[in-house]
Amino acid sequence: MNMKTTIAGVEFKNPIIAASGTFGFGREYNSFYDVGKLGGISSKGLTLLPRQGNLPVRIAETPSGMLNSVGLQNPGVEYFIENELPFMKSLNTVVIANAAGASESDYVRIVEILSESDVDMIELNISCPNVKKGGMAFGVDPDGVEQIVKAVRKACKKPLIVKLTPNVSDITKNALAAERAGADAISLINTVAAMAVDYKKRKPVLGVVTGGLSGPAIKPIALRMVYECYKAVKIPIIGMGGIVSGKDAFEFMLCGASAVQVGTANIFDPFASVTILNELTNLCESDNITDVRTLIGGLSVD
Amino acid sequence: MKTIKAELTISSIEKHGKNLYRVTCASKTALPKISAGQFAHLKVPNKELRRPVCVYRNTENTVTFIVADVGEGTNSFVTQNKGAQFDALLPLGNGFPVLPDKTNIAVIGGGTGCAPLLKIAEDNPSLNCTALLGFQNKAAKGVYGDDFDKFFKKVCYCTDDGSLGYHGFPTDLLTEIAPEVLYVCGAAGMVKTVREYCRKLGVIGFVSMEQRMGCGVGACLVCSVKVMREGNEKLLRACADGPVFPIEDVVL
Repeated sequence: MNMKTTIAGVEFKNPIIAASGTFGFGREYNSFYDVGKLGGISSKGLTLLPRQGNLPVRIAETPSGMLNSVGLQNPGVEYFIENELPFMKSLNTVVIANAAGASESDYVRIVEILSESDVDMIELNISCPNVKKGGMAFGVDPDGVEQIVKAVRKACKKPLIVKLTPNVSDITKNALAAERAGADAISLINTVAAMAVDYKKRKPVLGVVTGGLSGPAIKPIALRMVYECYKAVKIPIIGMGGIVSGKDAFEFMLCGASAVQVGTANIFDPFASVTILNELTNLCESDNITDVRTLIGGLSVD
Repeated sequence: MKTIKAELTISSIEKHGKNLYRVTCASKTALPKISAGQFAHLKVPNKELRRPVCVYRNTENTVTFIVADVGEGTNSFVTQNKGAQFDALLPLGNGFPVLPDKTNIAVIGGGTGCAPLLKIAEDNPSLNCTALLGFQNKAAKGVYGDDFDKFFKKVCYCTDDGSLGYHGFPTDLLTEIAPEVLYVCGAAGMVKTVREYCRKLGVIGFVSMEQRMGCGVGACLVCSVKVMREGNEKLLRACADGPVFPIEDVVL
C-alpha cells in the first residue's frame, strides 16, 4: 500500500507531520521512538534573533483541549541552522522550518537565511496569536497575507507553505491571497485565540491573559476550514487542528488535506504521532485503500 | 536512564489530613532507576494533559506518589480506586545532585514538598541527613508515616497549629543545624527564606520548582521557570532543565 504523499514537489513517506511548537526540533521524542518514521517535522517557530517568549503561566487545560501562550520562544535561526538542523536532517524525514517575524523585513530576511540552509521546506508562520508584533497581525487581513507572502516569495528558494490563522471571518480569502502571492501550499489551522479564567482568583489563567486554543475542541472548526479552502484553492493543503487519532487524520484528508500535522496530541502523549500514523495505515489497509492519496478531497457531499 | 511509559495499577490509596493522598502503584514491567527529585507524568481520568508528580519512593516494580488534591486533575487522580490502571511517563527531569565529600546535609520541605526529599537519604545511607518538615497539622504528616525517621539521622516535624512537634515553620529551625548542603521543596516563602540562609552562610542549596506543565519531556516550552544563567535571566523548562535548580540561580 502506498502511504506516500507529495506537497509542492516534496515527497513525504506518509502524510503525518509533527506540528510546529509541539515537537521542538525532534530530539525529545526521538528518545521515545524513531521520529524518522514520520512524514515530516515542522520545527519550533523560528525568528531572526533568539526569543525568550512570554512569562508563565503558559498553559491551561480546557474542555477537550488546551491553551498555550508560549510566544515563540526559540534559539534564533542561526543557532537552529548550526545546532539543530544537522540533527533534524539526520532523521531521514522532511524537515520544515517554521519561520516567524515582527516585520516584513524580518520575514524576508529569515526566509533568505533559511533558503541557503538544508531545510526541505519553509512554513511561514503568519498566524501566531501569542506575539504582540507580527505573527497573526500579518495573517488576519487577506491584503496583509498577500503582501507578506509576495515579499517572502521573491526571497524564498524553498517550497513555501503559508500557515493560516482561523481567527478570520472567511479563511478562503486568506487562502486565495496566499495562493495569488505565490505560496506553494497552505497549512491550517493555527490556534484559535482564546482565554481561560480562574474564578476563585478572579484572574486569567495565562500570564499574558489570552492564548491559542488547540486540541480536539477545535477539530470541527479545522475540518470545516480545510473543506472550504480545498474548494477555493488549487495548491495543496496541510490540515491540522485537534488530530489525536488515525480516524481524525483520515477525516482531514477526506476534506481535502494532502497531509496532516499532529500537534497537541504530542503534548498529551509522546507516542501520539507514530500511533496516529499506525492507526491511519491500519484504517487504509482495512478499507482496501491502495494509495492514501485517494483520500484527498474524497468527501462525498450530496 | 531511559524514560518509559509505565503501565501502572493502583495497589493502595490512603487519604491523610485535609487533602493529601499516598498512592502506591504496581508496574507489570520493571521500572528504570529513578533518582531523588525526578518526577512522573501521570495520565489522569477525564483529562488530556498529564499531571507531573514527583516519585516519592519506588522499587523495581512499585512506585509511590504523594498527591495533594488541589484541582480538577489531581482530584480526578486521587478519587480512583484500588485496581485502577493508568500510564505514567517516568522518570523525567533532573533530580537533586548529591555532591561528593559533602556528608552533612539537610532537607527542608513543606506538605507535598517533602515528598521528593525522602529518596535523598534513602538512596544515600552514608550521608548524615537532617530533615526539617512542615505540615498544616499532625494528620497531614501522617501521609509519610515514619518513613523519614527510618532514613534520616534527625527529623524535626513542624506544624502550623502545633499539633505535632515544633509549632511554627521549619525555616525557623535552620539556625540550629549547620548543613553543608540544603535541599528544599515547598512554598515560595520557604524557598526565599532558605535562599537567604544559604547566601548568608555560604551553604550550597538546591530547590525543586514547579510550574504548570505540558509535554513533560522538554518539547513544548510551557513550564517556564525564571533562572539566572551567565548573568542573564532565562526562562528554562521545569521539566527538562529542572525541576531541580541551584537555589542561588532561581528568580523568585
